[in-house]
Amino acid sequence: MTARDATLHPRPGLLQEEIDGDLVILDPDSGLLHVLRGTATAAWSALRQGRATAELVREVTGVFGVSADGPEGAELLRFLEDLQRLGLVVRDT
Amino acid sequence: MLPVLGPYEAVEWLFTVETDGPAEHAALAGVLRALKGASRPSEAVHRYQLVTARRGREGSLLLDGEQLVHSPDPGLLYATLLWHVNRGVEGASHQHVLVHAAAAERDGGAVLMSAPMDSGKTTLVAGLVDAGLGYLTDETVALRTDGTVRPYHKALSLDEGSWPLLPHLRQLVPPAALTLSREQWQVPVDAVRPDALSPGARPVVVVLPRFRAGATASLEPAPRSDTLVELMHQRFAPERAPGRDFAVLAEIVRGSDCYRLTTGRLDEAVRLMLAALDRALSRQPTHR
Repeated sequence: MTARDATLHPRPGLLQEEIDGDLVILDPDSGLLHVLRGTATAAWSALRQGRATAELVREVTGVFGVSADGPEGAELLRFLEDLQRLGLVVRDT
Repeated sequence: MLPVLGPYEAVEWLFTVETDGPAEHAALAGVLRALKGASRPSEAVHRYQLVTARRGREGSLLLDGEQLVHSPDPGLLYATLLWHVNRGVEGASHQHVLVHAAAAERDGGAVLMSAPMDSGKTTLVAGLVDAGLGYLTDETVALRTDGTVRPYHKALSLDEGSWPLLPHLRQLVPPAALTLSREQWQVPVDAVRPDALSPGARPVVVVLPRFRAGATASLEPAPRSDTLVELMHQRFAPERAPGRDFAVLAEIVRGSDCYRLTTGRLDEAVRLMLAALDRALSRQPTHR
């Protein structure tokens, strides 16, 4: 689980291009490409600003008018875990 | 050896060809003629030698004195040389982003068709050239860092499956090339029309084609982000300069209309792509 007080941010060295509101991320180390859309793009933007996880979830769910404690908030936390698993974000040390 | 052929310029791969076979000489002179380039310092030019089989001795193909292949089959040596030129382009063209794609041009705007090998790219670009567009390439699109296409005027390599769709192109294949290669037509594109070779263009349409036998052709808008991912996956030498490639291809998709094309019938696919190119060109500043 992602601790809600942890601060995550994009791993340094990733390349990104914003196109028509979508975000395409290239991991130059692995060569893998990822496309983020909608909520995921908003979450990525918040990650770049160095928000603590709980604050990030509140902010992003707020943008979309849903509860941070509801299923959408839980889904967002799972998304952040996916990003960690993929090595796209790292915790602040 | 017969007179040296070349020098030829295939993007950044510069080469000459020597052979002792009259048929090979005639075939290669015809098939490679659109690549004829300006002379360069000799050390920059690679040297193919195709030595034909004689009296029990196998023929061989050499590059810069090193044997690439030996065989009693003249068709294999000929085909290997043409294949190796494409490899040379991939290996040598460090200043360009190279993408598995075919491309054709009108009024300075290019339509790029990007897909893996054997997806019908050559057939589609042949259809577009037949319809009056300028030819850029049929297999490897070379993009400069400013996003423009540098032409690679290799001969169209048409596999047997495409022959019934474009039967009139057979007569344009040099006769000696037909004899040497029975499985593929190598069509010099300047034989289609003297002005069929495009000097270059800026992409305005990117198409991701997929062939489905018997399907009605359809052209559906594709998200630019997905198109960027597809183009990145279709690069040659992806490890060479991924950041540069990513930035160049992102700019290209931003400036292009992007589509997924399902092809069944060639004439329908060509009609759809021409209409897409018309729409894109009509929005270009010089066409307003």
